[in-house]
Amino acid sequence: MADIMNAIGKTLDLANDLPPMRMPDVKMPNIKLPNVNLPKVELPKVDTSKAKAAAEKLPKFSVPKFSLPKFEKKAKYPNPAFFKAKDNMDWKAQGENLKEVGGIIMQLFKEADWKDFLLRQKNGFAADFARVKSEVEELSAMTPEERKDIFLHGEKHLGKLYRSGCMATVRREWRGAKDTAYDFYEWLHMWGMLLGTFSHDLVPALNATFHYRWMISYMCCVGFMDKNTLGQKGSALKMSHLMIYDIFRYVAENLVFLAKCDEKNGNSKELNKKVVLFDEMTMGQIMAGFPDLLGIPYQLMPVFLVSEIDQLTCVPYIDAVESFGLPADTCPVPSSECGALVLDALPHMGACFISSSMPCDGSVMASSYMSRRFPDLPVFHLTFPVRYEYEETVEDAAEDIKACIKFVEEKTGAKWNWDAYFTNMKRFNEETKYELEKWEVNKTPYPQIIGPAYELFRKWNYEMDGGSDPRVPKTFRKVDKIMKQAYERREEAWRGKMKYRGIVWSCPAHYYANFSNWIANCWGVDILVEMESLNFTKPLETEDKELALQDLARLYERMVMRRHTNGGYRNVVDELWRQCEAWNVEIIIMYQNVACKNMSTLQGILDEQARDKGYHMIWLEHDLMDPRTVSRKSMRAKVNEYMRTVMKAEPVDPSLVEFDDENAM
Amino acid sequence: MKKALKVLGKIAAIGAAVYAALFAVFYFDLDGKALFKFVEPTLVKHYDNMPRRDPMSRPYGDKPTNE
Repeated sequence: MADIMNAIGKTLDLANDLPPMRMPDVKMPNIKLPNVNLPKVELPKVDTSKAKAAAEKLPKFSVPKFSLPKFEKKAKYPNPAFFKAKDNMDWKAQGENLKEVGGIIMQLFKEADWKDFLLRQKNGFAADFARVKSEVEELSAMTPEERKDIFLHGEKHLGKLYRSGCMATVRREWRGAKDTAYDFYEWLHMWGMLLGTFSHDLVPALNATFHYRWMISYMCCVGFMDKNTLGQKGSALKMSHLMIYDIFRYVAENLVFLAKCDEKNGNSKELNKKVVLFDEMTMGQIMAGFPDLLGIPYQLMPVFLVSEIDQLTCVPYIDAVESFGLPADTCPVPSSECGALVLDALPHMGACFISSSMPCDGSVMASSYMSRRFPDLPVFHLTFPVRYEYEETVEDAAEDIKACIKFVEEKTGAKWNWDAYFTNMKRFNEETKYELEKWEVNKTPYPQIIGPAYELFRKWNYEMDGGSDPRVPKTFRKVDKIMKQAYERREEAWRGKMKYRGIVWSCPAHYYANFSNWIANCWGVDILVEMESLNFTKPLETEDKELALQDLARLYERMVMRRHTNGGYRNVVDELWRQCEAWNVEIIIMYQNVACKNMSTLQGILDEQARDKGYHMIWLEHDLMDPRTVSRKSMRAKVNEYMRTVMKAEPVDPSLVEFDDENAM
Repeated sequence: MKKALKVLGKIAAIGAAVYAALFAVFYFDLDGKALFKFVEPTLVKHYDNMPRRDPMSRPYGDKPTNE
């Protein structure tokens, strides 16, 4: 049976790539057959339910037109009761904290070297003045047509937006009158959403800023939005903004919940009873069956996501845990998580915690550390089989999920709700269909939706949202409409910068989440897809309960990164060549997390096979969350060298070839 | 009528001024600069001063209770 299921699985994989077949029209001759009386034979009864279920899962070769059910009109999400839950704040402790911040401000004010401060301001103004002067001179030297072009279509040299040693850019990009106006609108929209969300429970949210270093980085999330959209215009800019907005709405809401629940801040006992924490690498879909509970990916906000917004956030955490003896070549994800625990930078909250062995054994280390730090928090370890392609392991994984559900029920008193689960999974299935539409468009010679915002949105939707937020399908619909209109018009996703088709393989550097943006703006290499997006796309079962749990297990086993770096050679090596062919790419950006032992074993094999197959493979070393090991500048230098020496290419924007962003967010 | 136009004119002028001010904050990245120059240095000092739980000072006999 297992062999048959394996064979079906392989056939399905191959079938995904097959072109639609058309049978030739053949006219058959009319032949009259003689009448023969056949004896009646009674056939034994065969249980066809399993075969029917398997047949239902077969992919359809043409994507049908569909309309989403309007879930979002009925449900309020997140549950308003979560925001309204009563806080049990220790006002005295908060007062002390606030007093200390006030004291520091006074101290800074008194101890400040005002001469030095004024001198720095003077130098800053002088630099600004020189920049404005040079920009004015540049503009005056242009012909009226060139000036009109810049006014309407935006500036061409983006490297000048960075200033050495600064965290913020010197100014925002001029994208042309229309697109700058739109960008401004989205900036207001984002700040409005952030303030609106924080005002749901302002005091604990503000207090969290005085407790946790990572909170301050979120105030720069608008700057992160700029980094991801740099150089984008028109439809591409609109789609990026729509997707980033959804991610940050989720982040802002969860930051409020973290602040409300944290013992040091809101300390809401009422809400804590309903909070199930799960490891940031554990997918959120399991919470779909508990609509009365609040699932929070625990380390996502304090560690994982923030390291993409601010490259320097995790450095103190890594240093802290390494000072306790952890080797410096450990993966920075679990290192940072453990370091955050050492520094007490994670909130103390929740009714229970679901940990996992995903994507690799690094998570196990962090989970153990976590459970030792908070011994009062019951922990369930989800440990899915590594060899996930063997179908006989699915039942084990499904049993693991059942046990996890039972654990949550016991610890919170809530009951698993199949209706709620199926509703969310139907929504998730529809979202996956929209995702596949994006892939189809990007595989054509006119890709429309490229850049870091698309990748981040995919990962967030697949891993964290998972169909739970009824507002998200609206974004999918809007993006789909814009994308198809842009495709009809044969727009360039990166105007004037579409030179090479590229794919990203292996896990990318968190501290350079917008790398694909730089490589498009600087060299015209357009990243059509990243490895971490290419996950489980088969529709999940939404009727049969047993099959639904098995599908959920299959989904979890194919989480971001795990789908490729676990389960054997063919998932990461053979799969790369399959995808390169499907997306018709010529350049492979091969990330090498210097601390990832799984991937480092394959370097020679990948190199050799890429040469044989004629792909340009650019190896990019990085240390995931620690920019001190390999800086952004070093990563860029590697690409610059390859493009100049091997590709003999000229940069699209020479101002981006070399610039200093060591301190930039 | 004139009064109404005057009021509308004033509202439009205030709206335009607010719009211009917000656009200046946006275009010159003043929100980012304010965080970088003032908010971050203040809070970083506060974070460094905060008393933190020291895992090394955990009592030897303290037994974990999680499952």
